[in-house]
Amino acid sequence: MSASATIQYLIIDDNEIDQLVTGKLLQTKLGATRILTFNNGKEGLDWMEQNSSTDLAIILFLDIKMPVMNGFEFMEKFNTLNENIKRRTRIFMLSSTLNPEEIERAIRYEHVDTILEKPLSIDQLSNLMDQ
Amino acid sequence: MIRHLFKSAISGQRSVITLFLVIAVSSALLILINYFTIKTLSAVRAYTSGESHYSKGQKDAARNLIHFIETSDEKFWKEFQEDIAVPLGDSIARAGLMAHSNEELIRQGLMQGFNHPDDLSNLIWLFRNFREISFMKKAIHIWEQADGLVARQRNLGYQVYPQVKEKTLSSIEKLEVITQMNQLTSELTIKERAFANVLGEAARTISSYLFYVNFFLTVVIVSSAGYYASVIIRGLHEKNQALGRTNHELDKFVYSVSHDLRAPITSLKGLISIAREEKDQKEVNRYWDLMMDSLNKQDHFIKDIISHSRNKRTEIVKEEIELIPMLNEILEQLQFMEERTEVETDYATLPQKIKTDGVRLKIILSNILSNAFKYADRAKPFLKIKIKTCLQQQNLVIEISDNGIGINKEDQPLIFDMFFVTSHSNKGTGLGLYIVKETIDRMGGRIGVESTAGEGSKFTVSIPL
Repeated sequence: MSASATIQYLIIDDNEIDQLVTGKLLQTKLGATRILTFNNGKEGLDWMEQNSSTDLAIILFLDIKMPVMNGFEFMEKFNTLNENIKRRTRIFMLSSTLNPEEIERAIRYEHVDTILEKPLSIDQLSNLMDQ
Repeated sequence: MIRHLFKSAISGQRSVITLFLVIAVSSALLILINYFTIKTLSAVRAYTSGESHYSKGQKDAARNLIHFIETSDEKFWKEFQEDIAVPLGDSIARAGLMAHSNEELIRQGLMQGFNHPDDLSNLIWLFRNFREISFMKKAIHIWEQADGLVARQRNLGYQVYPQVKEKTLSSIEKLEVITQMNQLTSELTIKERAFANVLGEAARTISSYLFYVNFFLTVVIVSSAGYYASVIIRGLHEKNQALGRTNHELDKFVYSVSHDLRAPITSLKGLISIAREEKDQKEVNRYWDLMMDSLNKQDHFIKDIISHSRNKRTEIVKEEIELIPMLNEILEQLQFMEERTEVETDYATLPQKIKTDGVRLKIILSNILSNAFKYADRAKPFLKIKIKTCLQQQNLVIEISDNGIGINKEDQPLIFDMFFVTSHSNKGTGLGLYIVKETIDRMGGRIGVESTAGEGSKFTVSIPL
C-alpha cells in the first residue's frame, strides 16, 4: 500500500472505458492514489516533458492504437527525454492487438517491460513488478 | 485490384498473340528462304561442276582429234568420240530443257555430261524456274553459243575422219584443220570461263542476300522473343507485386478488424471485473451504461464491416428510387441522437424518381448524415443540417453541410482512409467514410469535403445516373 502511494501511475489510452477500468483496478487492487490519464501519446509526452525532474517512480500503461500519437510513436519520442525520468519509468504496453508484428515491435523497445493484454490483470502485473 | 489484374492480363494476351505471330511468320519465312537458297546454291554448284566436265570433255576431244589427224590411229578417234559425247550430252539436255521435252531425255543428256545423278533434279529445277532471271538467262545464252562451237568441233571431226582414214589429207590441210580445232577450243575456253563467272557471280550475290535476309529475320525473331519474354516477366512481376500488396493489405485488414472487434470485448471484461468489486450502486449503473456503449460500438463495427464486404462483392443494381423519402427515413432514424436539430432542405429541380443503386446510395447518405449527428458541436444551441440536391449533366449531386465541430485541415486528406479516426473522439470505427468513398468509387462517382474546425463541414457527392 505504502509503496503504491509513492508511485505515479500514468495511463495513456484513447478509450475512455479502458482508462476507467485500468484506473479503477489500480486504485482498488494496488491502492494507487496518483493516477493520471491521457488520451494519446502526445498528451502523455507533454506531461513527462514538464515533469522530467520528478523524484517519483513512474509506471506507465501505454495503448498502441491511438489517434494523434500512437504507442510506437510515443516510444520513439520517449527516448529523447532526460535520463532522470527514463530511469524512473517502467512501461507496460497494454493492447487488444493480436498482430505478431506489433507485439514483437513492442517488446523490442529498450524501455518497454512487456506487452500486456487488456483488460489489465493485476496478478500478472504484481508478478512482473516483483521481478 | 483484381479487375485491374484481369484487364492487364487481357491486353497482355493480345500483345503476346501478336508477338507470337511475328515470331511464327519470321521463322517460317526463314526456313522457306533458307531452303530455296540452299537449293539454288547447290544447283549453281552442280552447274559449275557440270561445266568443268563439259570443258574437260571438249578439250580432251580436241587433243585426241589432233592426235588422230597426226597418227591416223583409230584409238584416238574412239577417244575423240567418247570425249565429245560429254559436252554433247549437256547440249542435248539444254535443247531438251528449252523445248520443254520429256524429262527422261533431259536426264539422259545430263548423265552423259557426267553430272552426278543426285544433282539432276536441282539442275532441271534451276533451269526451269530461273531461265528468265538475268543471271541464268545470261548463262544459258553462253551455254547455247558454246554448244554451237562444240557441234562445229564434232562436225569437223566427222568431216576429216574419212580423209584421215584414207590418208588423203595433205600436210597443209592437216595444219588447217588443227588450227581450226585450236581456234574452236580457245573460243570455247572463253565461253566456258564466262559461264563459270556468271554462275560464280550469281552464287556470291545469292550468298550475300541470304546473309542479310538471315540476319534481318534472326534479329526480328530474337528481338520479338526477347520482347515477349520481357512482357511475360514484367506481367508476372506486376502480378506478384499486386498479389503481395493484396496479401499485405489483407493481413493488415484482418489484424485491424480483429483488434477493433476485440477492443469492446476487452473493455467489457474490464468493466465486469471492476463492477464486481464496486459497492456503490450508482457507479455500477454507470458501468451498465458503459457496457451497453461498448456493445453498441461493436455492433456498429460489425455492420460496417458487412456493408464494406457487400459493397466489394455485389454488383451495381440500378432501380427507380425516390430520394426525398429515403433522406427523410434516414434523418428520422438519426434524430434520437440529438434532439435540438434543424434540418433545411433544398430539393429543387430534382425529378421525383431517379434510377440508381438504392442500397448503395442509402449507405452513403446514412454514413454522411450520421457523422453530422455524431460530430455535432454541443456548444452551439442547435445542430443545423442543410441538404441540397440537384441534377448536373446526368449526375445526381447531393450537398450535405452541418455546423458541427468540423475537421482539422491536416486530417482532411485522411478522413477517407481505412481505420482513420480523428483525435477528438473515439466514436468512430474508422470505416464509415472509407465505406462511403469506396461505394462512391464503385458507382463511378466523386466525393469532396470542405470543412473548418469549429464551424462545420460540407460533403458534396456526385453520382452518375
